[in-house]
Amino acid sequence: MEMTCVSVREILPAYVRDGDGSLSVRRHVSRCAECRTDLSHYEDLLGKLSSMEAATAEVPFALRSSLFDIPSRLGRIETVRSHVTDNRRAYLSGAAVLAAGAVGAALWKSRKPATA
Amino acid sequence: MELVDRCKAGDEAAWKELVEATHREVYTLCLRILRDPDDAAEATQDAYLKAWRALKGFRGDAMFTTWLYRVASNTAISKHRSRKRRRTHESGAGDELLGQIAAGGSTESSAGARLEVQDLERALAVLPDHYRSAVVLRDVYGLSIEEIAGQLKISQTAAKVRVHRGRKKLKDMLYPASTGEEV
Repeated sequence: MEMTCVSVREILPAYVRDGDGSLSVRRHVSRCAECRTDLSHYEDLLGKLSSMEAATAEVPFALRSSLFDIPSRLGRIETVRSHVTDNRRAYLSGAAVLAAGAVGAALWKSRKPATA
Repeated sequence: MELVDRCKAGDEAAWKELVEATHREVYTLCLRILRDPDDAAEATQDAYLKAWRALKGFRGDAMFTTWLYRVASNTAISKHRSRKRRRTHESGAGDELLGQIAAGGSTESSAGARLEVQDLERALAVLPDHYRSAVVLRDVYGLSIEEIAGQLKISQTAAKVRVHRGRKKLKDMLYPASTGEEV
């Protein structure tokens, strides 16, 4: 059954690249000048869209240098992280001593009789 | 030794070369999805951070730029999603910047072709977000429907519909007189 222009134009956006509905659409387009024009517009549009990959916007000045800096920045973070990991026991002991000190101080303060 | 292999080995000079060769494309991709220069710069930064961390796992079975585009589009889309959740305002600054792309002299094409890229950027800018992301990823950067569905967290059918409707809307905007008599 011959497709109508309405149904062909519904399919054209997919047909133009992925070939959806190939045979029946191709048959209709070969006989219909209007749909052929429509198809050529889609082909033109897709051609231009794919050429846009090469067209680039102006990059903010600071961005480029901060991208360059990524390996050394991550390297510094990694150094700090491995230092903390390697000395985890010492840091945890220090934190425990501080916490115990704070608790002791709070207890001492709460037991101290109020002066008149 | 290839540039990517040198980067994998921790060569910072090679990394600079790689960034120099790709950062304009990656930033523009993020800008096309996010339409805000600050968000695009942030997404570009995050994308390269991810890329540097994941470089050791890059096996070279895809082109490096294709792989980088996937990382960048994924990052930009995640950012776009969280930005939408925060319901912040839509900035027009990115549209202006994209509108200037051709005038910036980044393309080697003729003056006529430059104008066309500008027209397309403007048309893309007014396309609803969900159509724009799908069309940009499919038709500008060549991602498959499956990849687009994965990145946008939608079904493949929905991704296909978005690309389809986006193309149709763009065509109607750019070729307004292309409706004729129907058989």
